[in-house]
Amino acid sequence: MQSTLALNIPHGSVARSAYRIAWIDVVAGVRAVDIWGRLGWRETKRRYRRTAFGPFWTTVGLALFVTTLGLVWANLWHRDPKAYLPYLTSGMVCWVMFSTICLDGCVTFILAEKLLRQLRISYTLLACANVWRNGILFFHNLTIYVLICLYAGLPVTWATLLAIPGFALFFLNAVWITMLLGAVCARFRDVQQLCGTLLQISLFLTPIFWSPDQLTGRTALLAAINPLYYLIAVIREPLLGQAPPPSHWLIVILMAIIGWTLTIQMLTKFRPRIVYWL
Amino acid sequence: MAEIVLNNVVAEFPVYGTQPSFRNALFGRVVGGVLRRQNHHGKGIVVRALDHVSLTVHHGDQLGIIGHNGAGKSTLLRVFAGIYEPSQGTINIEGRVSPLFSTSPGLDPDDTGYENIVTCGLLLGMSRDEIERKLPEIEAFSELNDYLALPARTYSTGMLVRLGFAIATAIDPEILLLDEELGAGDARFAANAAKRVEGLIERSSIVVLASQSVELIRRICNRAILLDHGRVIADGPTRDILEIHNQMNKDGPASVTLPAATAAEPDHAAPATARAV
Repeated sequence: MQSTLALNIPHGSVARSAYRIAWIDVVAGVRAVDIWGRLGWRETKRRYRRTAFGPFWTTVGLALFVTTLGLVWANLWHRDPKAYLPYLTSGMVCWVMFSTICLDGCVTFILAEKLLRQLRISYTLLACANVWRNGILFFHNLTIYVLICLYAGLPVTWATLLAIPGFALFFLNAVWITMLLGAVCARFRDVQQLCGTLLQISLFLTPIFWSPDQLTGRTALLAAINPLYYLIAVIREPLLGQAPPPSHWLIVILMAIIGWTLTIQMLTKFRPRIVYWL
Repeated sequence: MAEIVLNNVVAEFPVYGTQPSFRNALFGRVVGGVLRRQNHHGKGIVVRALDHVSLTVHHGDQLGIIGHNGAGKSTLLRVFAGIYEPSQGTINIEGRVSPLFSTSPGLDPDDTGYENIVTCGLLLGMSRDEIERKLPEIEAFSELNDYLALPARTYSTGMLVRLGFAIATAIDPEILLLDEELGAGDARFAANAAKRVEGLIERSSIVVLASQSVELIRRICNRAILLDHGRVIADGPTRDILEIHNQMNKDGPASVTLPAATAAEPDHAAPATARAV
């Protein structure tokens, strides 16, 4: 008989390998849509409780940021605001999602300490909740982009639909990023601070404000070897009405494969230890 | 058949924060053995909460865990719950486990009682249908009435305990784990809780209760173990164990001579022998 403790994670007896439990953690966690969906919504609600606009407050802040910055920089760089604003906005909306997933990811397990000390629960489930919550926020923020597109008269094309597989790939990566950051930060609390710093720099080193074709010579590598560029491009390019080239898809798929392999390794080796680190 | 088997289980807590963690690991890599010489195997300080515990809890056992502060009661419960995995030894659990420690898992003070029932229920492994079906029972047992529509932060501690207890016991657990905070309810609730646990026991499951309250253990449990410094020093029928416990409190542990059959033997003899007392 199998033990049916929270989310069907069997106990680590000698007979059951840690590797199998790592997989069960992932599969059971992802499948518990009901729970992580609920936890994600609840956290969103909690953060904006008793505010009139709820998550749209982030949207308002972001809207101010992109419109003012976009108009100034379009002038500085002599670019057409109607071309630059959609570019900047689509990039920023994706970047904000990515960076908050990372920052929240760092504390996902730490903040769930109470829960983790009470239940034998899938860590993947908590990571999914984190990604889902930031996904919800992203769709709130997307309203700015829609408004900017209306202003710029950007057409909706068939390529726009490619945003859907783009999201799927992005989320696939976001979950393992959360898992790894969550585990590492639980053990080494300094990593959280380091992450914040690195993310700040990455915003400028990743083609968000500027486009990769503006770079020449050696600096062009900044975009070419930057994984974050591709991760964001698979959502951003469809949003801008362009189909991403196959190489972009491939790189993001490769990232997912490498990332998940590492995550399974991490869970196999350290899953039983994480709760002791909290 | 619900069953818990622990074999030579050791649980050790690493203590971080006594030394700069990241820097230590970083320099530990660079400088190699130099820093590691500070402690054994470079593992840092550990607190051993459970020391070679071997124990079998059988179907129908209502096990009371007794011992003074820091004896390892809560840790043992969390090992039963699969939360802390032993650093040595093995554990095998058969049956659906429902833990009830402090407040209910995943309780959000800003959510209403009803919302919390769903969240906690899902986390405890119930399906939505199951929760729906159990709702009247939970409503009735928690005695929260209209409060269930209010955010949980408006509840008193006792009310939170009632809600958590109602949810955790609604699950038809085969194995119910209770920590001592259960005593936070008032006398009437304690009586109700005991009645409900009795009901659960009739549904033939395992109940494990960790408590300092001799009274509670006497009322609920048919078997008890006495923990001291993470070791099981006695295991047997509740009455005998409580007697040893009383004696220990009176004279201090050194003066207690354990009856041979009741004491868990150093080579961790099968608990069945102890049960035969």
